[in-house]
Amino acid sequence: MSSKSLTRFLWGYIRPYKKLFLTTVLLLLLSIAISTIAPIAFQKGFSVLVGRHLGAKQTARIILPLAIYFSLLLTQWIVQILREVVIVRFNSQIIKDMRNDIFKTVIHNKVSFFDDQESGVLASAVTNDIQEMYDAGLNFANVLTQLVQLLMIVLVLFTYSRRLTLVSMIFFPAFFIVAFVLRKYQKKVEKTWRRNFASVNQKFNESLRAIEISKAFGREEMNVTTFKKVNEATYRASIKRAFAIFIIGPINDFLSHISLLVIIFFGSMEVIAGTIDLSEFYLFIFVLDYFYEPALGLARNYSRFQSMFGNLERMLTLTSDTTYRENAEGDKQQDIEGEIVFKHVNFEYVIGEPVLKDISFHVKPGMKVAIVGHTGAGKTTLAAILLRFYDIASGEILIDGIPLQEYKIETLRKQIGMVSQKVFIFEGTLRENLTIAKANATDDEIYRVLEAVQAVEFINQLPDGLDTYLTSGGGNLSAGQRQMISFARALLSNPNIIILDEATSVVDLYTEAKIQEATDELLKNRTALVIAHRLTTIMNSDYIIVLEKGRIVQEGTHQELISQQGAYKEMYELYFQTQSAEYLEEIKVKNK
Amino acid sequence: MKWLWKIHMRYPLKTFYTLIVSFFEAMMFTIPISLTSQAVGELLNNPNFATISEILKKILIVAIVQAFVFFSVSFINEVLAHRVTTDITEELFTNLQYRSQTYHDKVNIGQIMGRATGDTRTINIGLSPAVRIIIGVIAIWGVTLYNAFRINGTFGFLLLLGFILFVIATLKYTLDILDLSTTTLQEFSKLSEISVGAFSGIREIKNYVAEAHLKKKFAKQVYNHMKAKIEEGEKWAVFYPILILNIFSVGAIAGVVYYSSINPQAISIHDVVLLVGLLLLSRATAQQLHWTSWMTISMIAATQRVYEVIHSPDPGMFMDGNFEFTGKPATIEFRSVWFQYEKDSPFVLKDINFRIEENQTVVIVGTPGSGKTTITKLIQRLYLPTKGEIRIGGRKIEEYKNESLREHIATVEQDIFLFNDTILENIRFGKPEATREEVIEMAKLAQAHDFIMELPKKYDNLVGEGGVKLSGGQAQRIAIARALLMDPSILIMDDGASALDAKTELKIQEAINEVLKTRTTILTTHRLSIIAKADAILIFDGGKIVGMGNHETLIRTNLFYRRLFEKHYKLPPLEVLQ
Repeated sequence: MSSKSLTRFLWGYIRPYKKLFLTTVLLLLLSIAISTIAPIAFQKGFSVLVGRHLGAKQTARIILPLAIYFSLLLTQWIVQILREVVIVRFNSQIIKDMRNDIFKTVIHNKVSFFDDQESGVLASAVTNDIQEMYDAGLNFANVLTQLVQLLMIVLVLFTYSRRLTLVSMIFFPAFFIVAFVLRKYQKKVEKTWRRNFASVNQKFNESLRAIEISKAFGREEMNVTTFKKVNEATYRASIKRAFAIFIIGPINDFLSHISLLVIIFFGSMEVIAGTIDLSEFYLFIFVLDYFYEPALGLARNYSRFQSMFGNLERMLTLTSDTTYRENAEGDKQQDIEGEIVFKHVNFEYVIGEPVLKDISFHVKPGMKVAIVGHTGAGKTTLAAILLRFYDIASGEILIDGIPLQEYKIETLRKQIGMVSQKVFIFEGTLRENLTIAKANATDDEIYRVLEAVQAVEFINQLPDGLDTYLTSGGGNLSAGQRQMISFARALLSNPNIIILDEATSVVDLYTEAKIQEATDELLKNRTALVIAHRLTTIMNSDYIIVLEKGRIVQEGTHQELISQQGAYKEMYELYFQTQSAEYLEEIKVKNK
Repeated sequence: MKWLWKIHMRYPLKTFYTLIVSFFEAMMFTIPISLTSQAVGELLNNPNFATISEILKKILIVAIVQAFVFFSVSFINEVLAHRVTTDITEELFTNLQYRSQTYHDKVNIGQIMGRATGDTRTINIGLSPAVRIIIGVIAIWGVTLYNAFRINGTFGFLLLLGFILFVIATLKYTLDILDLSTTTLQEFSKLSEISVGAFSGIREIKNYVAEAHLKKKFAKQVYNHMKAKIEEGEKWAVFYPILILNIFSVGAIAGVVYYSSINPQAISIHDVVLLVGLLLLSRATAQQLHWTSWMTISMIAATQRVYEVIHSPDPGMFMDGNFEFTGKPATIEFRSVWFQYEKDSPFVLKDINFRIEENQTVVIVGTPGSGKTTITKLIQRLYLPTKGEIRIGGRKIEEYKNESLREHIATVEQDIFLFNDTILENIRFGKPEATREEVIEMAKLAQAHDFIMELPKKYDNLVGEGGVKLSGGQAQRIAIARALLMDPSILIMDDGASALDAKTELKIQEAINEVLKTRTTILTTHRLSIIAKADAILIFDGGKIVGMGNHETLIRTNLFYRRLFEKHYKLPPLEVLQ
């Protein structure tokens, strides 16, 4: 990443707040100017004092420089406060914009982007990483100011004594050599520490999430032992890191004492030689702080600045990289009637490992099609590509005769509802979890769908009804209840095509039948793709597609398929062997 | 605070070294200043290089000693702080591990994680360097005030007044800003919540085209956070206490220079330089109180929060019993059991009575939320019944030793939790000492071996966060192997085969048939093939048992049971028993 594009990127964020930015710069310059002049004012006063002690009688002349010194500093504090206030505002605005931009970019990325990322890490990019930039930004402004200030002071000191200025700067190369040598070590220990610290967090978090299973298997003691191990490892890493950090302060102190020593040594020689007077000599000691503050600030914040630029770069990559952007070429926004055609569709998640092979079928509007096959046959993938979560490798998918990619993605997804086997529950109220499907749904509408999916009864029993707070993952609902919510969501969005992916696998047969009765009514004028294991569900569909290892091996109505030899018949027979009432007696006898 | 001190007292040497040496170390800072003032004094009165070089030697010695002392104290302080926070983290972890399931049900994991990570960090920074710096500030101010008083009483008094005002103002200021930063942190955690939710639920969001909705929600929260942050930041910028201190100390600098110039006899140049030097140093160190006092007060608050978690009551806590459960006889009996998860929540089990004999297989059926899973959790003693009693092997469940129960009762849970570890480690979760061969044997029984062998690293393959790299059916088979490896006398499978297709399930059943014959098994399931084979069936509805018996009887006599199947199977005619 070139620094030019990075600057341009940053400038893009600064531009809307040009005024704030300019004010910041002005205030910084002002405070630098004051900081440079104030010591001189003091020196002037001090020189009068020295003269007075040597017998001169100019008492009156001392008041002016001292008053100037005092009022300059007073102004300085006010400027400083103003400066910080402005920086806080400026910084916060930029951070706000960056956050929104990253979130916007990420959320519009393809699903495959999310497959390879941990959601916690991504979330941390928009929260913690940017927060770090906020803090680093503040420090950056400070250190930068101090550096410029140092430069100004050095320029001023040069006019007093070149030699003394040069020797007092001796401290710098020494300090930076030490800092440079340390940096490598610091980087190493910092990395180990971060890794250890993250693993403590991760272990702690996992142990809380897994507490029930831990208890069930009696693993508490074991957990404590393993946790102790990581915890202690982190302690050791912390110590190493502490060494790298805490060695800097004393070195800095030592070097500043040495520069004091050097200044006194050369300074007194000059005073004795008469090239500078005592007040000028004292000025060098007076401003010694100016020397080591920026150095210390740099040393302390170096890694922070580095990670700030790292974060900026990552942000730039994230927001400018279009490889993962969802393909938004399509612009067709018309309503969908529900005809689905697959023509020789091939698909692979990983190149070279095809998941769907040469899939072709035709679903007429309003048809109910069952997709059957063993785990891993590609059924769920079929649904995912229909929603354009992934783009196909070759072939063509048409809805109402129009290629999938010509639709506007939003239009397409809005008209395809899906109830999946893994139900995602957002942390928030039950209502929020439902209205994600239709933002402006009224309570009446919500209750109507809840009625349809047989969920009203249990929701009325919840302490706060629709306003019950659900934990992330929906731990406070039973598995069956979560599935009902997923169902309700799909119905609320009122889609023309509906996909049911093992939608009723964890509810009992009775509840399933009840849901089905209700949904049969709702599915009436919609096209439905039903992925199911239960034969009863399958038998009720208009058309059946049998998938095996990514290929369609059979298709047709139940009657047609049952009369052929093949996978379907085999499945049907097995099902009856294991599930039907007729065969139960036989099993019973065999077992006894 | 007492608690924090107690933990410190585990390391008395380090603690006292830090406390005492911090004080003297800070004082050492003032030595070069006084040496400088000597040099200036000498230069004024009697410019002579010999005395100067004497002073320079002293500065060198001080520089060396001070660097060493400074490093030792700051480093030991930091080591101590890490030691203490490591201990606190461990104590918190251990404490939570042994808390009841009732407690964990209610706990907000995000909040606890905040305690475990954020708060311990805050305590760490508070202990080192914040407290040490505060000690240093006091020491340096002590020296400055002493010198000011020595030179001129009024002077000293004014400075003291300034310092006291400064301390009071700082305390008030810090308390104000603490409230603001708590608000900011809360806004921040809401921000995290929204983004984690958005990214982990991305499929749902895309499916429902809810991106715009979430962007709006996120932007709103970003704005709230920004507002809080600006308010806090502005308050932070306007550190008015330092203004008070500055006016006093810079006023003192100007004052001492002026006073000495009109009255050279009263204050020598030497003293002026000394005081100016000390005042500059005091002012610089006092500035650090800006953040150190904030850190210290945050530390106190953080300590309190962690302490509260560790010492909060656990309503579901119960004493462990003394009896060893040997696994024999593996009978289970519920006698008038009532149960509610929380004190004021509705009863999820109402007057439950049943008895399961040794080596029986019992199936529990019922509608969602009828209490099936709760029964399995009670048998595992994750909770004690609210009323009534549960007997295992004829003895009350609370009389057993926890460990012995865990050893003999294993479960395949409904929401399978897999650790982000290898398949091998996941299977031997309950029996870490199991050999690879044993694990493979169990995986074969659970029909998991074949798919495991197709994975790139086989048994050493990682399963991903929460098992994401496995399909639902695969995860379930791993969980079955995990439970079987325990060789339990009581096996619980809570909907343990829901994600399996009929063929795989049949295979597993055939494989574990023999295994099940010698143990008591409780299953919740909807699969008729399993239900019908069971020795007994318990039918639950609304937390009550509404039927009990075997399939043949129930299908003819029980309305609830018939209802479960009527839509799917042709039922025999209903009989009414006398």
